[in-house]
Amino acid sequence: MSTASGAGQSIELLGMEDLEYIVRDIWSSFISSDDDLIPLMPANDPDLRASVEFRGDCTGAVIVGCSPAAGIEVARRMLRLPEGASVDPRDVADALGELANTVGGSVKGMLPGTNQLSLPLFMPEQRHAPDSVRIEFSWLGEHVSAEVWACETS
Amino acid sequence: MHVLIVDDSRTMRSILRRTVTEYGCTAVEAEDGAQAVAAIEAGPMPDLCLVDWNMPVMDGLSFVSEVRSRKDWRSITLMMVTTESEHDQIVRALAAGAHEYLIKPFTADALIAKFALLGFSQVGVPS
Repeated sequence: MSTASGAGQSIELLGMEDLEYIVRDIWSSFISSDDDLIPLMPANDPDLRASVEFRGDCTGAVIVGCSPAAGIEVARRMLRLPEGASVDPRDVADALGELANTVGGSVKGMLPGTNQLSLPLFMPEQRHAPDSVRIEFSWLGEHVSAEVWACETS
Repeated sequence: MHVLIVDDSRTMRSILRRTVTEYGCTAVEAEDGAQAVAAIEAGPMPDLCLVDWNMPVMDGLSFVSEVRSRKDWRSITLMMVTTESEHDQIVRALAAGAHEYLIKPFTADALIAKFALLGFSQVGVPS
């Protein structure tokens, strides 16, 4: 665990290794072997994003992002569509939203106090919280990322 | 066994439907608690409802409370399938009338293990 601070009082926030564990667990449950996830130095702003926010004793958000090609492949695998099948953009949005929701639920369980999770939002405004924890992977040659920021509510 | 899947995510409904149909169940879907109530009223009565917590219109906890308030629906088994992982939330759901609780992410094996705990065998007859 590492310490991060935001608009409110500093709190213990999960570390990169915690976030990586959460993403790998979700990946192996719903998409493919997590061996396919190769860690990268975070460098790219994702083209596709889905987020959930949590409010209560803590305020923050989880953002899951990826390239358009990765988004299509994630949705195809979660829906178990045949290889090469066309994927509706709404299914890509829904699949990324469900990933954000599931990461958010795992993160929320690690935060202090009582917090509520919002419904997922597809393509939220891009913002870079200074104290966020962010990880990025190469997955089948495409970029996938997860980011969390949180602070204790003032 | 007839299963009603209640989740606002089409992706999650698809994952759940795949597992329950491979287990030999029939399944119908609802996007929120209100749709699920309407589906039960329309029939057929589900043996089991798999219920997400965070949904628009009517959330999963309200749906569980609604089902438990109806005497004619007492036979329905309710399982929460949700990202809500805190102990207090689990207690709230069970106190409201849920029989089982499965935290996302889950594997197909974990879901099927819960069916067995609830007494639903693969041929769909409660043991």
